[in-house]
Amino acid sequence: MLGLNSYSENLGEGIRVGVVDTGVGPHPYLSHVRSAGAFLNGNRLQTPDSTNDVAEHGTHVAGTIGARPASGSKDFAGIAPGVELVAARVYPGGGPPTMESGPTTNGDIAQAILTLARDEECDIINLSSAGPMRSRVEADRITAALNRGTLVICSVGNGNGLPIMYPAAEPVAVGVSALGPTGGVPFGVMDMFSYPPQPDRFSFAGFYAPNFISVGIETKCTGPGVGIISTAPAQGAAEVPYVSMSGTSMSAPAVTGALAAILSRDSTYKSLPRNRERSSYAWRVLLRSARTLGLNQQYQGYGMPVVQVS
Amino acid sequence: MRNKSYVIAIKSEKENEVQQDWVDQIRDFSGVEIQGATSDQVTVLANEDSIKRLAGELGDDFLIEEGIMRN
Repeated sequence: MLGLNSYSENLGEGIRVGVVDTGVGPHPYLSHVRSAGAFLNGNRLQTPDSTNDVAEHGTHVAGTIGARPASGSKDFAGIAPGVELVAARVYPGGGPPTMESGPTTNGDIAQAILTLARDEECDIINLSSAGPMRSRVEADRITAALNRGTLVICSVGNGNGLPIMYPAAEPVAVGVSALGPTGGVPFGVMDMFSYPPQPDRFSFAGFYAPNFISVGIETKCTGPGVGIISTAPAQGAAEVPYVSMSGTSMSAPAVTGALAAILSRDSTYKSLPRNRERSSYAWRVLLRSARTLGLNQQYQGYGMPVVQVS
Repeated sequence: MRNKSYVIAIKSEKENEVQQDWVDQIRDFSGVEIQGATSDQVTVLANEDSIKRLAGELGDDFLIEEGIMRN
């Protein structure tokens, strides 16, 4: 998937990606991640451990984008291991089982986006958080990010067929849906329940639009989001844990990583000033790289990006 | 009237036009309690009546909306 068939340590080099999530790490293959702090209940905290993961979600997302294994280890790597990653934690932690991250809010997400775009000068921001209600503050910050040259890539949400969630549904956001490989899900695992009953959700290209996705014409593109293996927080220095997760939270970073990989080999993009011209260029590159899978637009948008770099 | 959480944010296109003491202005406003603040936005607890009065005081350079949960 995504057209990647070989590993290159410097894929993604020169591209800075912000991850707005539950925090990142610790994980030995994510030691290059820089912290922008935690954004909680309207405050910004910048202590040494402020972006340690309070669940597993953010570590998984960051690993998909840019996990950097030890040279020669042949362990799982991120799609663009050369990227510079900047973490912003917006979840407080301390939630009940299955929701350990606790909920986040529009205000903290908006502040994190603003900080990553304006102060950290990220090229791309990945936001794998969503909700059914629109936020004008989030929309304002995503627009401001575009004007500073930053593209914001958002998961469309896991609404089981309900409309695309916000902020992915904003016209200024890149809303990403998810795909699974038909026949690629082992018998007996939970991911089997993501097979949809509707025939129009299966593509000629061997993929399906899982039944957990939110659906709508605001979907810009799609990416792998079923049974995605990526990094999990390590409990000890010797641990190198991985875990499998499914959802549009997993497909958004796959698309983010793919775009970072493509842009890292684009000298025109790198020469552009940090303004709307830069983010519009990145947006066009992403959509041009998308290949249709033959699914309805409300499931796949323009399709799945394919990384074609030498 | 029940207190709710609100976010008050400077509109991005107005960030260079707003007076620097705007957070103090909110802090001094009766019926509004600041929960957290940066130079760009504040999170407050207030009831609907107080937030309407504050919105009138602050003017059009700000976005004010209820706290919305995201997962």
